[in-house]
Amino acid sequence: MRPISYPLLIGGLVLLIAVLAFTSLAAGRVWVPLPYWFSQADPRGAIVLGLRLPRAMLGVLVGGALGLSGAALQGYTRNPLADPGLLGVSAMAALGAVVTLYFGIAAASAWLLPVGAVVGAMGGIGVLLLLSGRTGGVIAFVLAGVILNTIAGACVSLALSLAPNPWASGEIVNWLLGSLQDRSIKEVQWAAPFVSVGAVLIFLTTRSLDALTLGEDGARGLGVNLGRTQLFLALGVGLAVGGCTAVTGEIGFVGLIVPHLVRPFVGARPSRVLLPSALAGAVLVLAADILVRMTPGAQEVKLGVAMTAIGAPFFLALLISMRRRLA
Amino acid sequence: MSAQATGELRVDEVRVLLGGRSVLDGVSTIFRRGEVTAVIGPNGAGKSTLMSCLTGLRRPDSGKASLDGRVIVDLPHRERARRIGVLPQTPEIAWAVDVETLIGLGRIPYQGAFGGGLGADDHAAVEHAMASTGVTEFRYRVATTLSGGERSRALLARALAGEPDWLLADEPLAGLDPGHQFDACDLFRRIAAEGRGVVVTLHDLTLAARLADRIVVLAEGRVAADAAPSDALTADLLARVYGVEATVLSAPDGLSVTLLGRVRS
Repeated sequence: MRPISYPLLIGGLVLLIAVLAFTSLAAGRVWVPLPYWFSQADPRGAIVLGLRLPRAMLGVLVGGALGLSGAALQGYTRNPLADPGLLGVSAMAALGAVVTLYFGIAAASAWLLPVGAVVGAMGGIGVLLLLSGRTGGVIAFVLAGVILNTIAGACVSLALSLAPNPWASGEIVNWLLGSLQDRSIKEVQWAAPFVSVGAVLIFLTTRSLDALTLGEDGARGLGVNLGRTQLFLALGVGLAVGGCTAVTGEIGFVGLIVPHLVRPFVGARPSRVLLPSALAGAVLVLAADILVRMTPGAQEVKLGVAMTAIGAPFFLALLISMRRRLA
Repeated sequence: MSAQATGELRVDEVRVLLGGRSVLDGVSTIFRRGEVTAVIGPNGAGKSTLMSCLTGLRRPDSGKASLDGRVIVDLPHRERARRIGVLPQTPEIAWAVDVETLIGLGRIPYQGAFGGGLGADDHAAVEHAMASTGVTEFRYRVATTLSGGERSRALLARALAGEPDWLLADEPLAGLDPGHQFDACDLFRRIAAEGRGVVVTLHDLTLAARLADRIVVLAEGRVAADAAPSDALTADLLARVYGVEATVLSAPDGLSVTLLGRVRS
């Protein structure tokens, strides 16, 4: 029936993550022989432990959070086009972060930047879930995403054009493009708690997401509390996506692509898609991050840009294959 | 199935207002286990609203719907879902899951907080539900590719997989050909014979007469009749409630209702 079994798929993905994480430690412009990786004396040890290790950890964290959020959003909305980036949740998170930067709130405590991003993300997803819960239409939902993206984008642009100095705006733009480059273990420590709590909340909606296969009435008949599901998802996706975006900027399309890659292996049941999507998201982001590091040129290509370059054509292909359903 | 032999589902003086209009206006009736009760009535009579009160999806504006003396909307969600199996009027199958997985969704009220796989009890219940609805042969097919008849049987199996004491189905025969309508009726009768309660809303009067032990006729949010089919379905009542002229014949194998046309006066 299925090409491979569920435990085998999970095992394979975990193994793939391990291999890619190792590759991520080795890959870069400087070649560090294995014996020097953990050397305190050799400066090359600092490259591996100080720069590449946080980068690999963030790759797993961010990829996992985005893949999981995408799978959960698609399950909740019964809409295979749902994605935190596409629907403006990431953009709202970025707006939240930029607001804390702009008003200098972030200077008071480093924790306030991720908090701002999480608040932004929750606001975005709250609007989306409220809309999808009542009207349920794919079109209303996607349009709401377009509007959120537009509003968030406009407000960020406003903040940029009013920025006190070009250096500050350059920083913000650079961060918005989305990257894992030059992040430290501190950034991992900021993102990890938000992503972990968010992931637990998302996994608590597993039963409800399955039940929603039968539509809202069907799910309620199965004893699902839809208000609670909506709350957990808004908090969970808000925390996970907000926590990531605060640290890495906007990285889109991971949540859109990954569930589609996973479904041929595990079937369409939403609960079965969640964990493999998180793992496959980590694989995708780790692999893409290794690739962008290898690009020739003085500056590496930003991960967010690369993901858009992969994701946009994928989205187009998906739309074409769904044309009949939408018409 | 729980051990309560005197299981009783009832509504007392239920009123529901929708947009200022009273959709149910003081409805009282009792449903019993071991019986098939058909709720009939013209469009807009309040059938679906009554069903949503019975399934705990809507709180009446006044009056109460109760199961063994306990108010249904106040039951813990999961307990309610275990005891009352619901077949919604417009069932949706959102994802291309296989039939067996679809039916397994009926076990959700028994699962833990993080979901998880099905245990031995769950599998047994799913097998039993598939066997009694005759869907075992296409258990591996994708649910979204089924024909109308197969689909409604699969959804019925999904409702039965939860082993509820009560099966509440809103228009379960709509869209089925006559053969499958009879099959579904047989199944409802068998479910009731197992000691469960079955409540269905229907439009087809002859089918209602043959299927049901008792018929509740709703008209404009009130109970117009509540009796055995031969007592409830009279030509006089059909003229009053539906505005149609009909002949009602009592045949040895049940009641036969022939509709002649609109009442002209």
